[in-house]
Amino acid sequence: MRNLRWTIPTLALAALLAGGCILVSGQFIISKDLPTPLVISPGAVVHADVDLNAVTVYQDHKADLKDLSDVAILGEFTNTGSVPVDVSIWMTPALTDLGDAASVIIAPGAVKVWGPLRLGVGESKKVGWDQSAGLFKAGKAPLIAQIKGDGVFTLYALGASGSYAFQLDHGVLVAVIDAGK
Amino acid sequence: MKRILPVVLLALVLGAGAASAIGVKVGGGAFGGVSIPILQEDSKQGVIYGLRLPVSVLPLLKLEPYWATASLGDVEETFGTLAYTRDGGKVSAYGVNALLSMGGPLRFYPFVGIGTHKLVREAAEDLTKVGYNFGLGLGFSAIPKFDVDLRGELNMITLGETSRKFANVTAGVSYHFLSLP
Repeated sequence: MRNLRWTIPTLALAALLAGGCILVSGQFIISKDLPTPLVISPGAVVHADVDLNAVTVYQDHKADLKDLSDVAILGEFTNTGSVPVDVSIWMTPALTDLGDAASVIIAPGAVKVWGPLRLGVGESKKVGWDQSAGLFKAGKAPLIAQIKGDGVFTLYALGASGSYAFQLDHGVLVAVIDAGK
Repeated sequence: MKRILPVVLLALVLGAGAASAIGVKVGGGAFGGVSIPILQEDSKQGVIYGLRLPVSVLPLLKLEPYWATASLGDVEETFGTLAYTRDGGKVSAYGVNALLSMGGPLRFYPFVGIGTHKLVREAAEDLTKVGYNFGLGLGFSAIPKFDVDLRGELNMITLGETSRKFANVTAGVSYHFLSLP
């Protein structure tokens, strides 16, 4: 029984050691404000340069960044045009300065990361955190790769087609990073 | 999940076998309490509850298959001027704990455990991962066949190179419905 008395603490210690760095880890929220307002039409695209290295929490954990558990684009989208619009967010994996929607879509490495968000004529919609997280689909992986990489990229908000016009107010990119030492 | 199920089944078989062999108690119980995320900015404190099946397999050792579920609190954050809420998620688990349990009406015991944990959050991919439990319990028997337990445990769910950790504080009752000579 004396041996047994040490068995459980020993097993616990072994499990802790096997866990290694996963013990010293956590999930941290980082956010990056986007320029506001972003006023967009097909021929006059406005971009948001994102350099996460300027975000303190990201700086603190960049060396220990293992994964991303959540990402969202928040803000208030307003359709200022005369037709309904399906808003999407595109990303280029570096800082770029593209002036129109067509150039964004064919840019090297450009990928649609978020959307679509449907806006009726004159409609204004504050995108909630849960809703926005659900609008990341296939494009989530490339964005995660950028955040795990150099943290520098460019976001563009585009409509699906037609002569749309919309704007994004108080836009912010929010991510939850998994960091562990 | 495939890795944990055999462990639980083995524990049940061993427990039942040992119970019939050495004269032990088999019981069933329920517990509830609070689950406090540790270093997780995307979840808040929530409620945990579950069921246990304590089986004495040796004079000082109990094996305890369990099922538990925790509803974590939502996170509310303000970005810029707008407030947002993110679903805190839910964790459900089943597994087995091993308790170094002394006899007597008042018992102070350490325990370790392993289980399959499913993490669910709105607009996020469901995750099923292995988790470990380490903790201390205080048990007392005021009425024959009934036990009351107070426990504090660290629950650590592995996520590759990181983990999600919870401090769980629970109170439970169990009833020994089967005693073999």
